[in-house]
Amino acid sequence: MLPHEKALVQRLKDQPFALLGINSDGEAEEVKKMLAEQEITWRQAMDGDTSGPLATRWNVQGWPTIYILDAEGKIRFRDLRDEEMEKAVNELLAELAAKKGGAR
Amino acid sequence: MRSFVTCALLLGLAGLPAALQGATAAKAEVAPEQAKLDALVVRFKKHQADCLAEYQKAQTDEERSSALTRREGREFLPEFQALADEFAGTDAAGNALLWTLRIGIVERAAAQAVVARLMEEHMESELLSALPSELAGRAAVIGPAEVQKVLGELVEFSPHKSVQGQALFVLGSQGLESKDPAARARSRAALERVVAEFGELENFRGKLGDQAGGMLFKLDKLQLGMPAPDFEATDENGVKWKLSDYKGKVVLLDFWGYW
Repeated sequence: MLPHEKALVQRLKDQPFALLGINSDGEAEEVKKMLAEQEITWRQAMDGDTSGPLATRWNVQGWPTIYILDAEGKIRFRDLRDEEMEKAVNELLAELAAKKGGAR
Repeated sequence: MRSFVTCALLLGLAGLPAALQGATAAKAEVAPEQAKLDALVVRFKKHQADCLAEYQKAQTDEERSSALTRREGREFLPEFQALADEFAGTDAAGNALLWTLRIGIVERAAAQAVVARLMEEHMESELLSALPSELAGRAAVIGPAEVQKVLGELVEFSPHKSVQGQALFVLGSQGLESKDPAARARSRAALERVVAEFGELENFRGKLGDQAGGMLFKLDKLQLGMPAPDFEATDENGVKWKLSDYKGKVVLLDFWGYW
C-alpha cells in the first residue's frame, strides 16, 4: 500500500486531492519517528492503538480500511486497494473537473 | 520467597477472578481443584511463551511453522479435559472446559458436547461470561446455528448481566451482514440493547457499548452515498484538524498501521 500511496500523493500534488491517514500504531512520538523514516508526508490523525476512538466509532475491523470521498464529502467507495483505489480517485477528480468546467 | 512465588503465579493467570488477584490473595484459601487448574494454566502459558521465543529465533520457514503449530499446545487438551471430569460442576471444571474450547477442539460433536456441558452444569455461574467470545471464535467448528441457539439461551437463562451482555454483543455482531432482513433486524435490536443496558461491560477491545455503537454507526452513517460524518483529530505534532477542512477535495481516508 505505502509505495502506491506515495506515488499517488506525488502524482496528484497539484490536484484537489488529500490523502488522510488515521494511524493506529500507538504513541505519537513513536509514530512521528516512523513517519519521518518512511518519508510519509500526508496528514495523519493519531488514533492510539487499534481500539482508538476513531477506529472504534467507524467500526474498523481490519487494517488498512479505505474510504474514498468526493469533493462534497460523500462516501463514494470503500475497501479498495492499489490500482482500484487509484482508479476511483481518478474518476472522482474527473467528475469534479467536469462539474467545475460546466459551472463556468 | 513466598511473595516471589505469588507474583510469578499471578503474572500467568490473567483468567482468574479479580478477587484472587488482590493483596490478600496469598492468604485466601484456594480450592484444590482451582490450584490444580492454576498450575496447569501456568504450564500451558509457559509452553506458549517458549514456542513464541523459538518462533522468533527460527531461521527457516519450516522452523517457524513448526513453532507455531506446537504453540497451539494441543497435547494439553487431555489434561484440561481430565480436570473438568474429575471436578465436574465446580468453577475450576467450567474454566477447564473453556480452556479446551480456547485451545481448539476440531471435531464438531466434541465441541458441541463441551458447550452442552457448560450450559447444563454452569448456567448459574458468571464464568460463562467468557463463553460468547469463544463461541464466536469457534463458530465454524461448532456450527453457526448451534452458536446462535446457545447465545440466545445465555441471554434468556443466565442470571448474570455480564453473561447476558456478552452474549447479546456476539449475537448482534454476527447477523449484521446477513442477507435475511429479519436476521439483520434482530442483530440491530441486540446491538441497541447492548448500548442501552450493557455498555460498560468490556472485552479485549474495550467497552461493549463503544463497539456496538460503532457497528450501528457504520450501518447508519457510513454507507455508500452518505455524507461522511465529520470528526476532529490531532496529528503527530499535536495540530488539530477536521475532516470538513478538506471539503472541495477528493479525499482518500486510510485507517492504517505500519506495525
